[in-house]
Amino acid sequence: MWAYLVRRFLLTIPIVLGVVLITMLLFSYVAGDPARAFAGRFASKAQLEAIRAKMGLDKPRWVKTAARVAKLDPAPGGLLTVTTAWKHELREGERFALYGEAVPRERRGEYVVEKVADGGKRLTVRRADAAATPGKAAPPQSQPAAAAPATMPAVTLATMPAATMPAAATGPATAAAAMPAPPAKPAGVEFAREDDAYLAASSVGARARGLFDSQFFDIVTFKIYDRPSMRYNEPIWEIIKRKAPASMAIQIPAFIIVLGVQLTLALVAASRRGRWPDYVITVASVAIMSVPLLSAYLFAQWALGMEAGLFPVAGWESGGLTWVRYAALPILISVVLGVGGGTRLYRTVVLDEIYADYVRTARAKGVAGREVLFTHVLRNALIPVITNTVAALPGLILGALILERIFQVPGLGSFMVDALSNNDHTVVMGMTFILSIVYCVLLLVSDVLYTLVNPQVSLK
Amino acid sequence: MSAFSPQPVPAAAPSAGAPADVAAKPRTLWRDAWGRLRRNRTALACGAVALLYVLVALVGFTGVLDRERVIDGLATPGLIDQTLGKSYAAPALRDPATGAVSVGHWFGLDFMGRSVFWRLVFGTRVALTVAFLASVIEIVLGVTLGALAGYFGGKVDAVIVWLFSTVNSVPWILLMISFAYVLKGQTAFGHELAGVPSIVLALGLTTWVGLCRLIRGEVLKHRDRDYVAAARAVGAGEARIVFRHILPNVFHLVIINFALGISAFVHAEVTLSFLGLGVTDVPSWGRMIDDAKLELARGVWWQITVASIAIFIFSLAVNIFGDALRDALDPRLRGVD
Repeated sequence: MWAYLVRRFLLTIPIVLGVVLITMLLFSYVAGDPARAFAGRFASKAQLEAIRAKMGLDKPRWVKTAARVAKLDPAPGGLLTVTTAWKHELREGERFALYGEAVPRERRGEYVVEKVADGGKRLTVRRADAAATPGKAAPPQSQPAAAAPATMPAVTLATMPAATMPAAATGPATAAAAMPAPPAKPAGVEFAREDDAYLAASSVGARARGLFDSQFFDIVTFKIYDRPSMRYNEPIWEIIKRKAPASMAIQIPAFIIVLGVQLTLALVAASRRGRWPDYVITVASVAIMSVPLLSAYLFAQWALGMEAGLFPVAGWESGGLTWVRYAALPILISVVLGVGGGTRLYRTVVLDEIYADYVRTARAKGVAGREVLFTHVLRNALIPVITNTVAALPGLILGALILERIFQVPGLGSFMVDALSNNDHTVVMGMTFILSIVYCVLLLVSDVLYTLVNPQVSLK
Repeated sequence: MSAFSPQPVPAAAPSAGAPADVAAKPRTLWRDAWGRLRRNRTALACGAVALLYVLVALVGFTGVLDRERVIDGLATPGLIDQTLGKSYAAPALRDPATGAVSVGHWFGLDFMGRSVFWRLVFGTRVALTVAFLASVIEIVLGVTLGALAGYFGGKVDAVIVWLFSTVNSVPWILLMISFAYVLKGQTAFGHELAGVPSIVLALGLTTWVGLCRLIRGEVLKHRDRDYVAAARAVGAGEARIVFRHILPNVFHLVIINFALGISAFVHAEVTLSFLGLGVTDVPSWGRMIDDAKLELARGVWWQITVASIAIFIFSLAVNIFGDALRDALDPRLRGVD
């Protein structure tokens, strides 16, 4: 048994890795430019870089490569030297932006090139717009302070005096003190060449991170859940925790009721195969499966909520049991619509069993029909039921995307819909990934459950 | 969509192991299935309804649906009243302006004065195109990978099993949405993927797993059968054995899978439209429902109603027909009735 469990667990590892790969493939390669999708076509390169940094897309995909490392050193006179392993196209007097997660907050902002040396590999730069810096580079208020030290690896600025490495919250003020501000320029100055900002931010971004500070390892280590949602500006994990209860309040009752109804109907239909109860149940479940969900929700909301006034049309109230009033209609409609598919499937499953030899044997030796059905058949039919139930569980966590949106339930489903329509890359990726992982775990659990339900499954 | 036509497939495969009835025509799986299906009147009627949809979809491909009917409007040609609600018109037999019988007015006009009837016809074309193309991708991927895994076993099998276990470990609806989400802004071969291509890819690339698993299991069973050994003995190549000998024997599973999968594709199109990931430039059933989501409260019931009914009837027909097809083709139920 234990050997089986360990082996089954080990088999999950390559699959989890595969899920990471799918996530990477979809969201790091195929997705194109999520920052552009979020910011719109008129965003400047500097804004895009800032967004990219927030989304974590400025990091290397797999592992840090040496060629991307740049060093930032303070130089006399409040200046900064930028040393890189490659040649820059920046010329003296040109502006560029310095963003990215690895750039200490107080260093972020726009710079002007003072001097180019070493064939373009060493730049001496000064702050272009000290006044604009706090607004642009200030960390979002709700970002956890814990994230700040992680983004300031000591390696990056080993030569920097300790005094200039303040906590994130005091960043802007200390930065101003540490670096004498040049005369303030009007905010919103454009760069001389648009590419400069990009070049600067993506290459001078001081990527002296650890080897494992990459998009890939952010997924593997669940660090993506510390990233803020672009829309809510709050770490994804916090939002998930806040929104999950509303989803559960609808999904769990609906799920349990649906399962009970499905099993009952399936047994009734299968035991009366070819007679009218079977016919009615089968046709009704096929009919229910054929109803477009969106239309059903809209009609239910309109008929029962608006016209009949039996339920609130939409909305949510947490606290006490007031949510029950709002959850009633979504639960009702989920149950009605959810009964179809499973009933049909379970009927087939039961039918597969009902003609098995052991049933004939049981009947022959005189076991009552009902007992055959509920003890012999049901127990054997439970295996596909468990598989199907487990397959439905992640949907439970996600809630019903459309349902929650239509009935304005502030759950995970409407959170996801929001993220999709706002191009909230981090959220879409995070939700996809975490639900897949949960699903993997549930599949593991269901496999273990098999062995408990059915001793026939060998535990090799 | 020829799978809807309940005709015996000409290149009928001999059902493995079934004793041929020497007196009459040879009993084949397909002939048996057709015999059983023919007695099921409901299923035949549903097959006919599905065929009707195919015909309507074909109408959608002809020049009947010009820009004016589908994309612009009928109410005031060239000048649509932008005032909210002014362009709506309830279903009517005749065009109120001219008094002539007008097909375009039968299902009313939508908020931009466009004919709901013609949009529905165009939507049929879009829905069936999406379902068909997605099925093609699904079948090609599922059958190829499944057959390879089942036949060759070993490392090939391990890789393919890993692949479908992985894809299977992402909840389908999420995977499908993620695909549509990342593909919508992309271009390939100079064409934007947003719209039908992204939906087709999102659906096709995420649904092959079930079929692949099924085919793999069946091929695994057939691999060691006598007829395969015989084919190998007379010197048939691996590809020939897989594609000419084994696949015809498992092909009924593909047909069943196809028939039962269609309605999921049509429903997925509605979901994607609601999420803003669906068809953008042309009318579709999903867009019609999505456009109409706030209209019920205003008493504008026709657009959402006809689109929903269209989907409902199509799904029902395809599902019942697919069910009957499965019962007819699945040898396990042979002799039961």
